[in-house]
Amino acid sequence: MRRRPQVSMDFQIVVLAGGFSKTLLPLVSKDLPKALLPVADRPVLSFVLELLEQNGIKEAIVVVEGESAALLISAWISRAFEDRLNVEVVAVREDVGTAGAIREIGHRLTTKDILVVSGDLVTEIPLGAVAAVHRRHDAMVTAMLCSVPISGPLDSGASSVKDKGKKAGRLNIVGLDPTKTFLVHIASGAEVEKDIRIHKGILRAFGQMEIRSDLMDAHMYAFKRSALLDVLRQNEKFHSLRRDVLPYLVQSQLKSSLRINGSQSEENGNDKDALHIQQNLFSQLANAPHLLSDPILNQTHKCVVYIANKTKYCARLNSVQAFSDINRDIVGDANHLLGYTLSAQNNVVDPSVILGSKTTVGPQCMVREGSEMGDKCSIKKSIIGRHCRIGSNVKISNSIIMNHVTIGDGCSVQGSIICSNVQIQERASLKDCQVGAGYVVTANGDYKGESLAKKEK
Amino acid sequence: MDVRRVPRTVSNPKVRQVGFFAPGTQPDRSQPGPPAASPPLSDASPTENSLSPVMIPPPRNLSTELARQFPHVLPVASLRGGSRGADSSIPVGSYNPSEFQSPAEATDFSEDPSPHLGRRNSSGKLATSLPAGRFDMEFAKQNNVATLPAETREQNTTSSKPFKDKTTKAERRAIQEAQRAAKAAARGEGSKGPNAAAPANNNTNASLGKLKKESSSTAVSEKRSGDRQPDKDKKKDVPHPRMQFDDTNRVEKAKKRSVVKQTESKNRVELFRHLPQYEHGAWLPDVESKFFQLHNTVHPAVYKVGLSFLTGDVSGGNARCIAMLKAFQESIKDYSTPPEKSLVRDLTTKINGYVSFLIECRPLSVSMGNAIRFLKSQITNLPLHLSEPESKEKLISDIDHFISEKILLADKVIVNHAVTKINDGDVLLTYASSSAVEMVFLHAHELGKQFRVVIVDSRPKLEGQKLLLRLTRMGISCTYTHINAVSYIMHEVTRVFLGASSVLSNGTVYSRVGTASIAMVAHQFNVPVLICCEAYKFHEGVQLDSICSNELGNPDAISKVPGRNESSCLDGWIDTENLQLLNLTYDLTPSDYVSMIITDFGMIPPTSVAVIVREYRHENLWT
Repeated sequence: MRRRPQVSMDFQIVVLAGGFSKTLLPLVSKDLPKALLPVADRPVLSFVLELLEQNGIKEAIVVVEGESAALLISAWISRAFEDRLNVEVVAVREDVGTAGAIREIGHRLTTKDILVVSGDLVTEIPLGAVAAVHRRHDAMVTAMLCSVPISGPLDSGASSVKDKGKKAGRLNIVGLDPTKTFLVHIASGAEVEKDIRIHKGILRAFGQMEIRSDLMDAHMYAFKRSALLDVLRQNEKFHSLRRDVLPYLVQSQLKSSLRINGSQSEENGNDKDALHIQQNLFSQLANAPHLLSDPILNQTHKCVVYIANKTKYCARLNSVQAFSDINRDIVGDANHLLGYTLSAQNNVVDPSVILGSKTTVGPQCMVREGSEMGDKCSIKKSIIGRHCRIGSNVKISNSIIMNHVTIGDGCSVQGSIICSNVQIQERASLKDCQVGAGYVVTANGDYKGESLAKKEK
Repeated sequence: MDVRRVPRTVSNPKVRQVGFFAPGTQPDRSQPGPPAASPPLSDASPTENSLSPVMIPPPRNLSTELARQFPHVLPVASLRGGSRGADSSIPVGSYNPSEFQSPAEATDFSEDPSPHLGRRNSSGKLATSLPAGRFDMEFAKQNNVATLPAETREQNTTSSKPFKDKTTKAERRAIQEAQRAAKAAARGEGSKGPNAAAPANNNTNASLGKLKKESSSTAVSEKRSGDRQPDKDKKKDVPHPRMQFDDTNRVEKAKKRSVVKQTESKNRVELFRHLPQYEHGAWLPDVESKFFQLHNTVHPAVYKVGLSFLTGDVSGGNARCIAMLKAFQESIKDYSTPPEKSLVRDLTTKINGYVSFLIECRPLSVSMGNAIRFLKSQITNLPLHLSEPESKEKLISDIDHFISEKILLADKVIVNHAVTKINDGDVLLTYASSSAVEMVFLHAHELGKQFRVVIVDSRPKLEGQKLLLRLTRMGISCTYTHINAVSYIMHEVTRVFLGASSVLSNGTVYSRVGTASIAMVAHQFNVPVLICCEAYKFHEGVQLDSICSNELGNPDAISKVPGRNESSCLDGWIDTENLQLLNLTYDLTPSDYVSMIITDFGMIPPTSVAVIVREYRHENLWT
């Protein structure tokens, strides 16, 4: 037999680590691909890899866009995960998209199913659960949906959820069948106008449909390998798994279910009522008797969802905002993911840190080793990396400061992200800024909501 | 002769054989009664026994003999002839004809009313045949003829063993006296003497031991005697009693072994403490999240099947059995023997691991237990000269054969039999959803019979609705009602067709909870109750109530009414200390209420189940 010995339940794990993401500029740089962005002083990829390890997975393929990023990442992985995980780092061309990446590594995939995980996912949802649901339904694709992260949007009320969803374009309008197992409709937030159009075949097939917008696509999919590769082969221009492949599969599922259900003489009189459903309406259209609610059990082509438990943390690092959100959550509410024990003050301060007199480090902070702080500093809800030198009378709140950053006396940093090797001179004031690596903020500078980066030579 | 030598399978049935009693084991019959009745018997039995055992030619030998003489005799025919053969007293096999007693005596004996077994005459007759088998063995031994059924001997050694150490002083004394008496009697007997005494001892021994086990309601009515030679190798063949979940020690041990973390539910139903009662909510997520951890122990296909059992995606005896066998087939396909291990042993342990995973997902049904037993015996009986691919090939085709012959073909036969019982104008009642019954209805409809179906259903599973859907689609006119209304609807019903999860060898039908009520009502209304059940679901055990072995479903299923959110008085019931919810899955229908069991061996009265179990044991379904 040609088959390899059982690779983790006939599942292969593909971690899409991306490359130098444009959306995350200026945080990423030539030396710091997206996957290595530090979240609480750990590369974000480590969260995924540790999740794999916790789930008892031994092998994974990490796909990186671009050779140079691949080199950096494989160097880091071989250092950090030497005998824990058998990771294979594969470089693909840049800008091929997620679908393209899978297409390129297609020949390496051998198992019945593959699990595609985005490398920027910070979560504690067991991968096994997604895989198990996939297996159980023998599905074509299983998408993991999670509730919007516990931080940010929820604090500021429901109305902002919608705005944020539109702005970030990461909220999907998701249609589920009554049992919440099958994915009936999917449209990402950006495409959604005022109405959503739903084919009447959907309602004929499923009887009921629940439309939700409070779920986020976590970009963790289980695919049936053969089907996925077929789809990618047939549709050369598919670029992204989320935007192209998943909606395509969801739609074609309807086609097949239409064909199957067409033969059944089910009476569904009120189709046309269902054509327009107001957005965000949690509607249940009971136009099929309870008895007939499982007409798709014989269907071969299933799109299944796994809806993660609300209590589990799940977030994707796909924007600058998300980066700071995740960093804040990781030392705050979701600190169980961190792997450090918190001190009595609810923060993590390395013993080697030198604090000046009257300097306070508040709760939900993290200060890594070798950093020095002058007198009368105040650090709130911030992360400070290794070997930073912070002068006196500096106020830092809601910020992320990476390694080897020098901050002069009397500076004020609020809600900002300061990359490595940045120098901030005296009495500069930064609010909601992102400062790229190696940048020098001049003394007395006052920036608000700007993105500062060194010019590429 | 060697036809009878069925090699032992690895599995351990809970009850060896049922419904048979010998003079020596007479106390057995009074087993459920007060224990006080038995002690005098221990004194009485040796004399009774050693000298004049009631001998009847065993139908087992007879049937094989017959089969040898008339190879074309249908198995059913030989089976039916079993009791007749006993009457006509044909000396067969290794019998010493001088030991024979007149068959008339045997029948007299069998007429002896017994409280729970063999109510009917026929069963009594059949039942007597087995003790004869035992004596057959004893005498065969004394004649040094190696014809005795190997498995019987083993059973004897094993079944008698557990009792040995349990005897009290008084009991030991009784045994000693019995032995002495037996010896004296044996001396009188002459050359055969010393050996003839042996059964007596062991009978007393066994019967004494039984006194201690009286409390158990599983009627272990057939603890047979055996030689007292301690045989260490065979010790592991002692049947494991069913796991009792009120035994803390064993539960702890089992927990350590188990792959899936199960938390015991807080409000366990007291009467059912011996059954696993776990919180259902935490179960599925745990199995799911362990997906990748399990890959060493569980094959993906088996995992999938287990998951579908757990979630209820696959239910019903046949469906579960087929799904399981298919998964095993997959796993055998992917199996390769690790170096320095033998396929037989390693594969058996693998299968054991799979089975225990499946049990953790949902307790096995009888049909699955039988199928597993079959598969294991196929593995152990693999010819040594086969190479690994050949062995795998053989096992895979064995499984295919099992599925097609024992399940699919059996269903066809059942349908053909059952259809003859459907006449035009009949009103047929069925309960819940049985695949066999459904096929019967559909086939009858295809034949153009005019009939109406009443589908009785019950909460919480409401399985009948799906059946209703399928039947109405086919154009069969149906009435759908819930079990509450069964006494009303029964007036118009002419026949009741029911499915079964298992039929035990005393004719009791183990089936979906509610079946017993239906059968009882039908009996009261003089409506014949026909059970459609494939023979591979028969179980050699006997059960007298549905308490000692049953399955508990999710209590939440009965506390919540779908679509009726207002009935929330049971919300948070788990925190109410003095409230326990009981969601039983199965019940027992006494054979009184069953008119006929339609099986692949034909239509039989419920009392004949024991015969089928006994006659077809060489098919490795029952040990």
